[in-house]
Amino acid sequence: MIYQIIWVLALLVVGYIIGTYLERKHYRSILKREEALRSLPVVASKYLPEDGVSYQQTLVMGNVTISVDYFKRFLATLHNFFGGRVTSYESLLDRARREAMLRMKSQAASQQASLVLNVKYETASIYKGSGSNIGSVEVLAYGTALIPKST
Amino acid sequence: MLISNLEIIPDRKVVKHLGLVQGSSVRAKHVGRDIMASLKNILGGELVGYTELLSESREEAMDRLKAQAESIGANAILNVRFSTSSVAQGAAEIYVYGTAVVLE
Amino acid sequence: MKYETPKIPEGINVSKTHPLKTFTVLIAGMLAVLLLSAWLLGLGGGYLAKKLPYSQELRLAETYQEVAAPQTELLFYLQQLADRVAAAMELSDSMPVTIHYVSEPVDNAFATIGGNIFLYKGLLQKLPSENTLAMLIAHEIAHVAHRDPIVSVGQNAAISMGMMVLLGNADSGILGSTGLYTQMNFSRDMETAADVRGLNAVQRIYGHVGGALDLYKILESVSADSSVSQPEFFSTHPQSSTRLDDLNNLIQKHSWQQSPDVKLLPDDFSAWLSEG
Repeated sequence: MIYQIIWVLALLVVGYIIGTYLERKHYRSILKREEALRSLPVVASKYLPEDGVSYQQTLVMGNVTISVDYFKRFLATLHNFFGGRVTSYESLLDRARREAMLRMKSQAASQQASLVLNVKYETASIYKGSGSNIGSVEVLAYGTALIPKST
Repeated sequence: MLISNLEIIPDRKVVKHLGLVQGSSVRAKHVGRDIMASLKNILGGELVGYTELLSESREEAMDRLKAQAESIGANAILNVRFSTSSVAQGAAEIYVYGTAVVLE
Repeated sequence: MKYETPKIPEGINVSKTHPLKTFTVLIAGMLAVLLLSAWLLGLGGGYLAKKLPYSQELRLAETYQEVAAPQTELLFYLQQLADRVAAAMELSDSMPVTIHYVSEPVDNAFATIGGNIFLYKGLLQKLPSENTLAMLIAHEIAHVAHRDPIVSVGQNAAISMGMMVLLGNADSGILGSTGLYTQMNFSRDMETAADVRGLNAVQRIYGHVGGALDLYKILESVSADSSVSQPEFFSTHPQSSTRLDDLNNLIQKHSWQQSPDVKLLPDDFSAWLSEG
């Protein structure tokens, strides 16, 4: 019993320290890449711009699976008891969505696309079936990239 | 084969609608990935193995989607949607569907 | 149409509260809820257990009858003394008291459900007179008379039931698998009440309370020997010196005599102890 408690405490501390470090690092990298790819517009509209340019189109997508650390998962269990806003999962989903979007955008940018249309997100929880272990999500972002035809 | 999640393709007319086509792929993670993933579950961060697994799985689903569309003589799939569901613990189904059409 | 890509400020979808702060608040809340529910369950369990008819309590305690040792001279003597104390306390006939002797060098004595009282060799060896022994037995019988053991069992059962519901495991039976309830948690109020009633009984039997308070001097020396003395708050037994003061006040109030003329233990008592 006492060893279990020590083990849980150790995991909490390790999870908190390393998890926080990894999250900060990830956010720094997200911000940097978002800045680099910001010139590429991404819209949820289905309609093509009526600018007279003829485009070639292709499906682009980006996906990522991110797991939350032990400390935040523990926190979420506590949140589960009291209800209310599960603040510890907010950053997990935020990071996953933005990372997936960035991967999609970089795929589009590598094909010299000028616009990505009709962007959709698809979110799945990886550990859905296993009860208390929910804490990893996969996010897929996809859309139609418009590549101007070089005529 | 043109795959797009738009409903209309500029400059090209849809000649024939061939109905819904779909591709699906169910994959489970293997033990090696599981061990890495359980470690990552403590520390947090990206589960690279799973990301790859799911994109491979998605590619397979798209191949099947294309195969269905080709077999019925379509040359494009429009309004494509992805959907993911966890069927059982550790197994995910990737499902992709769209409208098969013949373009001019 | 023009496409612009303005920068969206950070922190709209993610709360800025520090996770450690949330953690502290939630853990504190969780502990408060747990402690409160344990306290309420204990209170409820104890209350319900007291409502249990004594005949049911005797059935619960049937296991002790099986382990009862053969009648020895020592047990006969102790049982006789216990019966005298019970009579002096005007204990109801439906509440029989059974004395058990445990031949182990442990300084302990306790009462458990069904009027079963366990006396250990270690403690009995330290007693100087019959009056002190009577006080010890009277204290334990007072617990039985107040039905403290079944209240304690009821509290523990309610709390462990709560734990079971919370943790969802049913590996421990509600009343424990062995059925031997040796872990009695009596509150300090219970102990004080038992002291007072016990001392009353001793006064009634011998006409004075001489020798009775020796018991607390022994208990004090035992606790001083065994380990670092605990602060009173943490121990369920009030510290012996506090109990001694309370009882001295009681003696003064009733102007009882503390005669040095105590009744000695039987000559063979120490021989009986090592035999049994």
